[in-house]
Amino acid sequence: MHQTYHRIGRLPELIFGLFLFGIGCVSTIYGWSYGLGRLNDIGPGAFPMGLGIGLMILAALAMREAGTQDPVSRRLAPAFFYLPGVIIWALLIEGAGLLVATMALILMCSVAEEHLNLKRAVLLSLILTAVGYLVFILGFGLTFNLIGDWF
Amino acid sequence: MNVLHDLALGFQVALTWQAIVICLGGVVLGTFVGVLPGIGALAAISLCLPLTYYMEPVHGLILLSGIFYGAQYGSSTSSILLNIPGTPSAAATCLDGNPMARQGRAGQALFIVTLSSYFGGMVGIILLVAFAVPLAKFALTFGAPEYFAVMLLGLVAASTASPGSAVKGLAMMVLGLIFGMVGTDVTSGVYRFTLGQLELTDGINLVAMAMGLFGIGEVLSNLAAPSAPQPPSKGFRLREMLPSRKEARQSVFPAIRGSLLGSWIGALPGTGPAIAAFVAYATEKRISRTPEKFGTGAVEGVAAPEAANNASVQAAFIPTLCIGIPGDAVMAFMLGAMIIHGIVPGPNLISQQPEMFWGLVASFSVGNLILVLLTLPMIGVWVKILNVPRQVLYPLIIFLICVGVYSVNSNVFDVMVAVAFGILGFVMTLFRYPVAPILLGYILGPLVEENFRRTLFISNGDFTAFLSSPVSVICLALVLVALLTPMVLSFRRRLTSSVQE
Repeated sequence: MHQTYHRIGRLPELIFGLFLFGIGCVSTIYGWSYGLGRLNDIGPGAFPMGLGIGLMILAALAMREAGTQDPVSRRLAPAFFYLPGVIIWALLIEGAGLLVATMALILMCSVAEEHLNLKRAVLLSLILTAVGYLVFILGFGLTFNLIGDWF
Repeated sequence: MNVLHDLALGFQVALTWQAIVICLGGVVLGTFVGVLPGIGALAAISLCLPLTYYMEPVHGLILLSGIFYGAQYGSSTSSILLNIPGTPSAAATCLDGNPMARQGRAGQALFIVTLSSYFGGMVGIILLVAFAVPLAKFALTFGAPEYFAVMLLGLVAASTASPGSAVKGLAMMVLGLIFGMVGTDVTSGVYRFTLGQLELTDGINLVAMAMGLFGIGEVLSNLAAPSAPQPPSKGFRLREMLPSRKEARQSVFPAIRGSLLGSWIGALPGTGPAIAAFVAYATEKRISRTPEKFGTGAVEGVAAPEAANNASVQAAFIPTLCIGIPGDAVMAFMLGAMIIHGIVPGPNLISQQPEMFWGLVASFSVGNLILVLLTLPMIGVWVKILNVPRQVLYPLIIFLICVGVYSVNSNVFDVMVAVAFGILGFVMTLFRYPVAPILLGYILGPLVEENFRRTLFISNGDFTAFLSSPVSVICLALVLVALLTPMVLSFRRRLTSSVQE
C-alpha cells in the first residue's frame, strides 16, 4: 500500500537550502538585537550574528550544488506515520499513561507497513508496555503512570 | 614504573564485578547496533545516556564507550555477509570481505576481522596509555587562543573530511554551532534563541537532539530506503572458521600497519574510524605486490581496515580525555556525557581523577577481550539478529527513543524537540547533508565562543592574540588548508572538464 517511491529532485533540495538560509537570517537579526559588544568585551550577539552570516553564505553555496548528484528514490510514507506516532505518544503519556500511549504509537508505526498486521501490532505494544513498566517504572523508578489520570 | 602503578589502579576499578557486567552490557549492545545496518553507535549511546544517570560516572562512561568500540566489531559482520556496512566505518571491509563470503570463505573473513580488530584495539589502547600523560602535560600550557584554534581545527576538519560535499558539511557544522548558542549566555546572562520557552533557557537537551538526529532520523531514512537483502541462514562452526596458515600469514603485517595508521588517524582532530579504515585499505592496495587481487577477496583488504578502525576508536579518546577536545561526533557526545556527570575532561582529568581515567582505559582492554570471546563463538546469534523483521525492530527502537527522551526530565517538550530533530535529520539525509557535524558543532559551540571571547578580553581586543603561540598558528594554518583544499580540487576538476570539452 505504501510502497510508492518518490524521486527526490532538485526543487525540494533548493527549498531546504532556503530554509537553512532563513535560519542564518534569523540568527543574524537576533544576534544584532542581543548586542554585539566591543572588541575587548564581545557581547552575546556577536557570535550568533557571525554564525548567521556564515550559514547564509554556506546555504547559498550548497544550493548551487542542488541537483548535481543523481536523484534518489525514497519511500516517504513511513515518515508520515512514525512522526505523528511519536507526537501522539508524547501527548498521551502524561494523561493516558504508558499503556495507551504505546499502543497508539505502535499502531501508527504498523500502519506504515505494506500489510497492516493488527494482531502483531497489539501483541508488540503489550510486550513493549510490559518491558517498559518493568525496566523503567519498577527498575529505574521513573515517574510515569502505566494507566494515566484520565481513566 | 608509574604507568604500571596507574594501570593497576585502573584495573582495580575495571575488574570489579559491576564494572565487568556494565562493560559486557555495553559491548553486547554495541555489537548489536553494529551488526544492524542503519542504526549506528550514536543512536545507542544517546539512548543509554539517561540510564547512566543512575550509575557512578566511571561506570556510565564504561558503558557508553563499550557501545562505541563494540559497534566496530559488529559492523564488519554485516559488511561481510550482506555487503552492507553495519556502520560507515566498516564500508571498506565490504570491498574484500563480501567477495570472500561469496567464495564460501565468510567464516575465515569473520575470524580474521575479529582478531585484527582485537589487535588494532589493543594497539590503540597502548598508545592511549603511552601518550595520555605527556599530552595532558603539554595541554596544560594551552590558553584560550590555543583552545579556540584546536577546536576550530577539529570542527572544520570533521565537516570537510566527511564523505560528500564539503560545503554541506560546513553548513551543518555552523548550524550546529547556532544550536549550541540556544539558552542562557554564560557571560552576560542574556537568553538567546529561547523562543519564549522556559524549557530552552538551559539550552537544547543533548539527549533529545541526538536521539532525534541519529535515532528517529536514521529509522526514518532506513524505512525510506529499499529493503535490505536477507542474510544467509547457515550457521558457522568455529573449526570451519579457522583461516589457513597462508591466510593467517597474509593478514599479520596488514593488521600491524592498519593498527598504527588507524591510531594515528584516530587521534587527529576531525577524522573518525571510517577515514582510518579507508586510508588503511588504500595503503595496503598501494604497497601490495598483487594489487589486482584487491576487491576479489584479498585477506589483506579485510585485516588492515578492521585493525585500523578499531585502533582509531581507541585512539580517538586521546584528544578527548587529555585535552578535552573531541575529534568527531561520537567523542563530542562522550564529552557532553562527561560534563553532564560533572566531570571536566581536559588536561587536569588524569591528575585529579586518576581512578576515573585509568579505570576507563583499563575497561577498554577488558571490553576488547570480551568482544573477541563474544564475537567468534556467537557469530550465529549475531547473524540471526539480521533476520529480525523491521516491522518489529523499528517500532521497538522508536518506543525506546520515546521513553528515553521523556525520562530525562519527565518532559513532553523534549520529545517534541526530538521529533523536530528527527525531521531535520531525515530531510538532511534525503539531500545528502551529513548529520554528524551538527552534533559536533552543538557541543563545541559554547566552548568555542567562550574561548574566542576570553582571548579578546585578555588581549584587550587585539586579534593578533590568536597568533601568539606556535600551536594556534599551526592549527589556524591547517584550518585554512582544510577550507581551501576542496575549493582548489573542485576548481581543478572544473578546469580539466572544460579543457576536455
